[in-house]
Amino acid sequence: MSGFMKSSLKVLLATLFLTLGTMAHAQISSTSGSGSLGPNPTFCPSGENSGWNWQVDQAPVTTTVTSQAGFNLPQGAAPCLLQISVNIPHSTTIHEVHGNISLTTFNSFSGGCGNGSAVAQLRDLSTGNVIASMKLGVLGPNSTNVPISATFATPLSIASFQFQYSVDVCGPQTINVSLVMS
Amino acid sequence: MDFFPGPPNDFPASPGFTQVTIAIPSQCPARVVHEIHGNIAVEVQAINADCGHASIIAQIIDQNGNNIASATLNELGLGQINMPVKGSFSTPLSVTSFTLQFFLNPFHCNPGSSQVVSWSLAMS
Repeated sequence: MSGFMKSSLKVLLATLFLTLGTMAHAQISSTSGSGSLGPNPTFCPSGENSGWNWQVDQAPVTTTVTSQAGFNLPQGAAPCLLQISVNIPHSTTIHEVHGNISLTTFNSFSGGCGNGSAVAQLRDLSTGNVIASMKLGVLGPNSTNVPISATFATPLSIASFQFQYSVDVCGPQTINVSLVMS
Repeated sequence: MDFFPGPPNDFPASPGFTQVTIAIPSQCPARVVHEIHGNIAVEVQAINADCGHASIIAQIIDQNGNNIASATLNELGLGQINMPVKGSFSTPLSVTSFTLQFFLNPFHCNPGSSQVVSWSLAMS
């Protein structure tokens, strides 16, 4: 099962770059990043197939955020928090968001590990306003998905995002985010 | 390029990135999209040893790169996952063509495993 997550982490950015290449004629500004888990600047320990990546695509009207984060806490590890700050090419105003956030676990429950439990949030870095948030649990190898659809009574002026992930059970689990904002 | 060599709703034999552009017929005026609703679904129809999971990114994009709907979904083993889509645009999109983008994680082996992405989206 672990190869599944490893492969997913490896290919997401490649895919998104490929997407950019094919959309070069369109008016898109994109930025992306990736990294490994470890003691600094994150508090989540590294493990097999752990890591994260993200991409932000800005078109004339929409801003799309795609991200994947894989965690593999060892048994007995404390809950951990991963925060990733993202500066975007152009500041924008967000009135609405739609898309999904999902949580997937890959192993059967064994020895106390194998379930999933996570919080995922996309926030406005400068103010802390939360654009989308989910808290999910998954038992054993499985995947669950949260559709996101919301509008903001007061539109948010955004110059930078923050991905915030928190995981509190051991074993491999992956969080996927795909959100369109306008 | 034939993106759909098999039955109409089948993916190509090789996993990876696929996009299909659909132009709105020239005799029709550009469509202005204020709102979208519908669903995107992924199902795993057949599995082969360790190759029975679906991991996909699906997007529908206008001619300017504006993303109308996007989903990233995983399905482990035989089964289906469905994602309702509901969104609106603060600045309506004037659309002359759509591009459907699919990415299927290459981890999924062929032959022997089968994943299908389907969607039904209404825009106005």
